[in-house]
Amino acid sequence: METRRDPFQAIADPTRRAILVLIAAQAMTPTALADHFNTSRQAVSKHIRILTECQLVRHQSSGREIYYELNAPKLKEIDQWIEQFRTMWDTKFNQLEKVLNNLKNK
Amino acid sequence: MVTNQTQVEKDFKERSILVSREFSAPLALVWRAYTESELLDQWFAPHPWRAETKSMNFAVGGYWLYAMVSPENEKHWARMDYLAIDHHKSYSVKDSFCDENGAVNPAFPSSTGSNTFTETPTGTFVQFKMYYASENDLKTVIEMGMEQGITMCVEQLEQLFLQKKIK
Repeated sequence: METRRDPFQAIADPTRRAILVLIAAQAMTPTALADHFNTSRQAVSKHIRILTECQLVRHQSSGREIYYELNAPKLKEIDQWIEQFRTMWDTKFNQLEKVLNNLKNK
Repeated sequence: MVTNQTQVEKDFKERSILVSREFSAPLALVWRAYTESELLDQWFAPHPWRAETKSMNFAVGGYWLYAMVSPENEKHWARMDYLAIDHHKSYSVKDSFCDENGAVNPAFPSSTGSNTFTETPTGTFVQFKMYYASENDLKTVIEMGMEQGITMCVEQLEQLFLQKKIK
């Protein structure tokens, strides 16, 4: 198994996607975050660790509390893939449009 | 001429990707372009690739066996199995990679999807919804999609092949 950490791996898990949605709305402490899930705090910590390794999540200290927040630019990498994917379909569809125009003119 | 936009929406919860586009052509014509192999060959592969049909049976239980041919004439075989067909409305498919005889390669994840055709005042609206099988497949599917996206740049593509050979 590859140990490479990338944003795609991070979002391949539903709990991690839920964590991202939660902290996208506001920065949260580990305790507040764990309260949202039925799994153990350790399991939530593990997900956060993976998200941190993928650089999708950053933490900030405020007094004695640690807050997790979303690293939005990293999430953009996923959007960039979607854009590549869109461009590919766009190319195909433009070809299709030509085919359709030929058919119409027959 | 109206420039139609291709839209892509992702739904990670549902593990699906939705590709939609409007065409300035009557539905019956668009349907033909999607379901007749001679027409599919003309558009289905993104340039500079081309699609080449080996066999086509557009019927429930039938499949389209085709190759994606690179500018260097390298062939990647794939098949599209037709799971359900609702004439001039929609059809659903299962996409798999295979060999030239249509034997499916289980090393690659297959995906299912459905194409829906709707008449609009100016043409036809087509939606293609793709589902990937499992959470783990998401990453692979995304990476394969990435490969396809890259196919538009031949140089990058060649690099990709090199990498694959090294693996």
